Formats: sequence, structure tokens, C-alpha cells
Amino acid sequence: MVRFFKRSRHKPEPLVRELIKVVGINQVLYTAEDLIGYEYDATIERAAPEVVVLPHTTDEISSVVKICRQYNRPIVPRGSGSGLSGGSVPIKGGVVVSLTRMNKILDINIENRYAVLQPGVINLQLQDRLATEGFTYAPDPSSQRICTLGGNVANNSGGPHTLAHGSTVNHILELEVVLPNGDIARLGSRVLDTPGPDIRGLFAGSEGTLGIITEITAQIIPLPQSLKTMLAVFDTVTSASEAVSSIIRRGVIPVALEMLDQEIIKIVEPRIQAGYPLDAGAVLLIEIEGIPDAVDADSELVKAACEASGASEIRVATSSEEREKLWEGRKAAIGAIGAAYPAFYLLDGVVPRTKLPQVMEDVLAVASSYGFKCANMFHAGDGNLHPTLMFDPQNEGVLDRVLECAGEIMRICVDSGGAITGEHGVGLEKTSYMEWIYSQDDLDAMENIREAFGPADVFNPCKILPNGHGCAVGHAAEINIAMGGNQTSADIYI
Amino acid sequence: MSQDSETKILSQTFKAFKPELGGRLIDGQEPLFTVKPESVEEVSAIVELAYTKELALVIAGSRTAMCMGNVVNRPFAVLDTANLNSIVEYVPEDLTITVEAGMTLATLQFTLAEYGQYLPINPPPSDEISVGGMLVTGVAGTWRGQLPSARDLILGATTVKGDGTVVRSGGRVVKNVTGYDLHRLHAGSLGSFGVVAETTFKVLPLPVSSAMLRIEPKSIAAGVSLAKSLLNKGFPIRSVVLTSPAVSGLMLSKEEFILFVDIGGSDVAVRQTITAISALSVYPVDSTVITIGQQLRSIFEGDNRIVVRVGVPQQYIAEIMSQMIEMNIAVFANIAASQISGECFSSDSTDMKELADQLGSLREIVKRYHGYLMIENASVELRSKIDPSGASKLSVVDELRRKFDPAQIINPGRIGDSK
Ligand SMILES: Cc1cc2nc3c(=O)[nH]c(=O)nc-3n(C[C@H](O)[C@H](O)[C@H](O)COP(=O)(O)OP(=O)(O)OC[C@H]3O[C@@H](n4cnc5c(N)ncnc54)[C@H](O)[C@@H]3O)c2cc1C
Repeated sequence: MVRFFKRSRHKPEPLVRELIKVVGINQVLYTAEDLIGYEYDATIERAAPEVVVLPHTTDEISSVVKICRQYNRPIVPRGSGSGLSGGSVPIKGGVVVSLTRMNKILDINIENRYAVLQPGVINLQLQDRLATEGFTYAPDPSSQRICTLGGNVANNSGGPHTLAHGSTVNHILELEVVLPNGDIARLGSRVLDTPGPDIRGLFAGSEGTLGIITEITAQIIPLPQSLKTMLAVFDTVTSASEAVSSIIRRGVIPVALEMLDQEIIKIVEPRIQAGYPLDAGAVLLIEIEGIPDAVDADSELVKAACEASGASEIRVATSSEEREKLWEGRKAAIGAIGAAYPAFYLLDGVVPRTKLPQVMEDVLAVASSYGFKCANMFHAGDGNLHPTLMFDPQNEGVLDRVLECAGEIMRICVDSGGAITGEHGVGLEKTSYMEWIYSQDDLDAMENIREAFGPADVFNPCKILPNGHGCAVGHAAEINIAMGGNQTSADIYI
Repeated sequence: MSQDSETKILSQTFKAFKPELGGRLIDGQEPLFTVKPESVEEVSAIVELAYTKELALVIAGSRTAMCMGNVVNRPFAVLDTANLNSIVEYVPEDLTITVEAGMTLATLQFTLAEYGQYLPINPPPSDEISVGGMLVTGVAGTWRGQLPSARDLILGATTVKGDGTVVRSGGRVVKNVTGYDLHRLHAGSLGSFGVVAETTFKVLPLPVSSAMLRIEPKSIAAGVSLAKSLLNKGFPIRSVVLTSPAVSGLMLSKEEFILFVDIGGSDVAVRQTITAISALSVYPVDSTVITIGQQLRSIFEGDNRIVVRVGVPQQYIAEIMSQMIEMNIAVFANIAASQISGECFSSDSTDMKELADQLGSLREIVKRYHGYLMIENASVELRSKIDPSGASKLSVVDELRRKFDPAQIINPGRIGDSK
């Protein structure tokens, strides 16, 4: 459902004029056509902002925040809008601050092993630039071709290589942020372990609710001397899951350990020709890095673990093209689903790794009880699942059933000792599940965090915490209305 | 009424928790009494009672880092976490462990080692530090840089706010972005946002094999530059530490600059790395050293020692290290973490005002280089003359304190303005 905010009600003209004064006419969008692109992220939720500002500097952002406070408008920071939980959807209207024009790599400091970046730099752009110097920035969300580093920090994003290298927060030294009162603050420093409470760590993953990230100093690391990518083929998801545990048991932590099940292989392979056997029940994509002899030794251990768990084939990529193909299948899986089905809904749950076989069985059983096909491609090493329900949006009432099914799947994750999001964030989408994980006291403490930074409705209202003032409770009904129109191309309901 | 009898009455209020009058001095002050809760519920009840009585509580773990932060600024009782020492949950294959916060790192490591795992942290001064203490002090050790620290490995925590409310955050899975990471707020906080009662950490497999190499570079600059070139090669190195002659002398009775390279990994990885480093180094490489970690850490042990840590981008390490040596500080640099630790020699005749001024000037220099200087351990006198943490003032920290410890009773005064 698109919510339009009538201009007259908020008397926007003076607001727009003031914003133009600060950032310039070309950096302010306010006509209905210009705003359309800022109504949604990669989820279903949509809402129109009143104004979009595209600042170039931190000082401009500070002034924009002060103006918005003066006019009592909420502010929604936005990167590329690739978020999968409705995080950058301006559900209460107001001003979207798009960081895409602050996209400069300010300093690649090989000597000191950090990079200073504006928040709009695209993740892959940084990795590509660093590769020319023999370095890399470890966090690699599958969306790295489009997502911004600001969005990555705000969501504490993960990726296939999180298993060995950790999530985004583990790679951030310093943040420059604009707080709800317009003040500019620096959190952390250019060196690890800055004295004082770790506000930098708290800010990462705060989904644009505590302030706007305007500069990032990220740690960079040397590229590995050697790298081996393997594909292990299994008859069932259960035996592939067992192989995951067996690898860890042998004391090997691959840098990536990804699983694709039969349903997704059938979708991906014909379109991408990644080299996954079509008759496989599941495949594991395993990557090991380090110094050459050690990589060889570890890959022997991995092979032994896979064989012991019943792998029917283990293939090692022999060229960089072959490696890239194997990864292409994983990274382009979501796009392939989009090409194959009119609509899908992608979930993000996390469970203790040892519970994977049981959880996967339960997830598939629930999906099939609702009559949905469910494809799975996920970060198995971290126990981070992405069950994806495929459906035809023209079927009446289907979205209600999708959401109900998704709710049951989330419940399975929670009941197994896991949580409702491993990397995509709570955003708008999962606020109502927060109570499954946290008590009222826990949620109150989280509210305390928000209040300590400033009034809760200044930045990104209605995100993360349930029952925000003036926020809708749950959204199933709204989605149903949103689906009233014709859906022609594939929609991602993520 | 005399102060003694007031204290007795107050301690009587806590009699359900078996208070013991007095206790070990903290910042030269005697606690009114000491309680040792045995569960999260007891912690909560004690804090709630203290809150209603406006009684300050200093939280003590293994007391290896009680001389950190500002001097406690009010009379206080002690909440000692020694009896909060059980394992709550450990699933080796999930690479996660949840323990009560009073457990020592040594006990934790012992448990993990049985399953071939460890928490890859070796903080100063020793593994006797409690895990809660390790989190809130933010101390890290020589592996820091190449390996993560408590602030990275913490997955969740149960904490008690300053009014007794029990708060959980995070979870027991290795990857999780469900809600605000409250547990990260406690990292480096010196316990200023409540009592950390339980912690969940991500753990790693113990390396099958390890080795320590010793190289004697001719100068600081040569040592730093060799260290950096080794670190940039992607070897399975856990730490590269450059010791000043004073520190080398204390450890090995050899007053030279020494570069210690700690390697950990599979047998082949360690062997291949030793061979490669021997070929790369223009100085002889000695692989007969066994361990240095514990020796290096214990050099700085003891309440009245003056221990500082400087973090400064790598390009300034050699310069700052030289300056510290000139200031008569026994130093070693953890090159991967870009941190220099040192002990300032002092005696009864040391002019603390002068020392505070010197450290203050050094702090100004490292700040200009985007770094920091913090005093990790020092006497009450020195800590009263210079802000020990040197953390930048953020109004949001004060706000957070007001929310999480409304009566400011937990570790009062430790962070922020000492007045
Ligand atoms: C095909 C596909 C694959 C994906 N794969 C992964 C994956 O592997 N791992 C993963 O973790 N995620 C993945 N995602 C999700 C998404 O790409 C990440 O969450 C990403 O970090 C979002 O970045 P963005 O620039 O698009 O941010 P947006 O979507 O614009 O915003 C995301 C959130 O961050 C806030 N925000 C953005 N910029 C700032 C800023 N400068 N300051 C403060 N707050 C800000 C927004 O308010 C919002 O709450 C995937 C998405 C897609 C579509």
C-alpha cells in the first residue's frame, strides 16, 4: 500500500525551500514522480516520503537534520534500498536522506590497513579497488554489487564469508555520525579498542534509528595467498547438514560454507549453468583460504568429512572461471528465482548449527502443508537460513497464507534456540516477532537506547521495536491491500 | 549513630545475601561490606535493594583490573562475582558457550580445551581475569589484531540494570542482528551500565600446532617494518610483538629489540610459515622459544604498577614507541593491533604531577594521529591527576548511564567526569 502524504497538511513548501537552501535545488526531490523510487526497498512495504534529500557533505546532513527537527518530520536514512526488511521505507512519510551521492573512497591506507569511506560507496566497488593492491574488505553480502557500505553498517550485514571473518561490525574502526540533534560525533578511532564503552559497536546494526552514518573507517586485510573452492554433492539436505557439523568437528573453519537445496538447484542451474548436478538433493559450496600447503591439508579434511557424511561427488574448482561460476550460482540465486516465479518471499532466520537437519525438515514440512514450494540457499556454516516461498500473487488470499507460513517458519527458528534475523535486520517486517525473543524488560532496555540518542520518532520511526508510538501493529492486512493491483513482473516479497 | 553501626544496619538489610563486613580495599577505600551472589536472580535482588537504599556497589570480578578508570567517588559495598562461575550452556559443535560472568578465563579455556576449542583472547595480566571483567575492561592481549577480542566475540549477555531489572540481549547463535546489541555497550564500559551476569561467546577450534619465533632486528624501525611485511603476507600468525630492550631484559635477560612471532594453525601451516619467515627475514630466526604470552603479561601485574596502552595507526608505531622509551617506559608493541603497552617506572620519589603531565602530552600527540592513550592500571594518586581513559566525551554516554543506572550506583564515578 502506498501512503501518500498530502502536502497541504504539512505545509511542505517552506520545508522544501529550507532544504534547497542548504543542499541546492538539484539535491531535493519533491514531486510525486521523483519520489516513487524512494517508496520501497527490496520488500513489499511501500510508503511515499514527502521529500528526498541527496546531500554531499556531513555538514549538509547536520543542517538537514536540524531543519527536519524544526518542522517535526521523521528522517529515514537510505542507501541503495536493497534492504530485505523494509528498513529504508519511510512508513511515516517525512524526509528520506539518500546517501548515494556521498560515494567517494576518501583514503585507501594500505600502510595503516584501513580505508576511509563515504557511506554511499558500493561494497563491491571497495573490494575491487582493494584487490588491485592485494587487499580486501571481508564482509561480502550477496547484494554487494548494489548495496552501500552505510547500509551494511546500519544493518550489520553478513555474507558468505561471515563464517570466518565475522559480520560488518567486526570490521569497522570508526564511524562519523549525525545524531538526532544534528550534532556530528565520531565513534571509535582509527585504531582497535578505543577506550570507553563501545558505542561504535552499538551503532552498527541500529538500522538507521539512532542517526545517519556519514563516514566509515573500515579495516582492510591482505588477500589470502591461496584459495580453494569446492562443491560437495549430497542426496539429502540432512546429509549435507551433517557434513557441515562434521567439518567443524574436525577443527576446520572454512571461510565459506553455503548450502543450496534441490529446489533452488533446479531453478538456478538451467539459468546460470553454475555446474550444480540437477539431480542432487543438496550441494555445499565450501571455500578454504590460507597458505598453500595448509589449504591443501584442510581441503583433505573437508573432503573426508563430506565423504563420511555420504557425499556422492566432491569437485574442486581448478580455475578462477570455474570458481566464479560456482559462486555465481549462489550469488545470483535470488535473481534466478525472480525469473522463474511470479513472486517469492525470502526469509532470514538463524538457528544453532547442530539443529540444522531437524529445522530444515520442519521448515520444508510447514511450507508444504501450506502448499508452497520452498527453495533454500543459505549460510549453512552460520546456521543462517533463507527459506524462500514461491507463489502466484494472483491467487486470492495468498499473501495472508505466505505471511502465516513465514510466521510459522520463524517460530521454528526461535523454538530451536535461534533468532528471527541473522543478517537482514528487523526493520518494519519483523517488529512483531521481537516479543518472541525478548521480554518486555529487554525491549524497554532497547527503547532506552533509542531514547538516549534522542526522541524515538526522529530517525526511522516504527523500525526494530514493536509498538512504536503511532505505528501499525503487524502488517498482513496492509499487504493484502497492496496486492490488489496487477502484478506483472516478478515481485520479491522479501 | 556511629558510622560503624550504620554500616551494620545497612548490611543487615542485605542479610539474605550473607554480607561480610569490609573486604579488600578498592582505590584505597574499604568496602562497607561484600556480597557474593550465586545466581542472576540474586544479583538482581541485591541491585534492586541497593537501588532503593541508594547504596553504591562496586562490582568485583577476579580483581585483576581494579585500578582502571576513575577513582570510585562514593562509599560503597562490593558485589563480588566469584560465585557466578558456572557454565550455562556449551555446545561445542555450535562454537558457542554461555557462562556466568564471574568464571575466570582460565576455567573457561580449560573447559573449552577438552573439546579442542578456545576463546582466542589472552588479556593482560592473566587468564585469572573473570570473563565479565574481560568484557567491561576491554583488555585484549597480544593476539588482538590478528584475532578478535571480547567485543567481537560476544554474542549475547544477561545484564542487570542499576535498578535491578534483568535484561537479555543477543542470543546463543553465531550470527544475529535481532534488535540493538546491548551487550556491545558493556564492552569497555568499566561496568557503568549495570552488572554483567552472563555472557555468550563465539569460540574457535584450538590450533593443532603452534610455534614462537624470535628475531632480533637492529632497530625499532627495522622491527616494525619486518613485522608489517610478515602480517601482509597472510600467514597464520597470531601475533607479532616487538619488545623494547627493557622488556626483553625482564623476560630473557637480553637487552635488545626482539620481535616475537606467534604462529598457530595446522602442522603443515605452522611448518610452512616458519620456513617462509626464515627465508624472508634478513635477521636470524630462532624457533626455540616456547611461550612469551604469560611472561609478557605478568610484567605488568600488580596494583600500583603504572601501565599505559597507546593505540596509534601503524605508521606511527616506531615514532611513538621511541618516545615512550625515552620517557623511561618499558614497552612492547602488538603490531597487528597497532597498540603499544608499557609500564612507567616509578618509585616513591616519582613526581606524579610531572608524570601525569608527560602522559598528557603524549596523549595529545597520539590523538593528533587519530589514536588514543589510556591508563590501564595506576595508583589512586596518578588516576586523580589525569583522566585514565582519555575517551572522548559523548553526551549520549551520559544519557545511556542515566537510563541504565538511574541512581548512578553501579561503579560510581569510574567513567566520565571524575568529579
Ligand atoms: C539479492 C539480495 C541479496 C542480499 N544478500 C544479503 C546478504 O548476503 N547478507 C546481508 O546481510 N544482506 C543481504 N541483502 C540485504 C541488503 O542488501 C543489506 O541489508 C544491505 O546492507 C543494505 O544496504 P543498502 O545500501 O541497500 O541499504 P538500504 O536498504 O537503503 O537501507 C538499509 C537500512 O540501513 C539504513 N541506512 C542505510 N544507509 C544508512 C546510513 N548511511 N546511515 C544510517 N542508516 C543507514 C536504512 O535506514 C535501513 O534501515 C541482500 C539483498 C538483496 C536484494
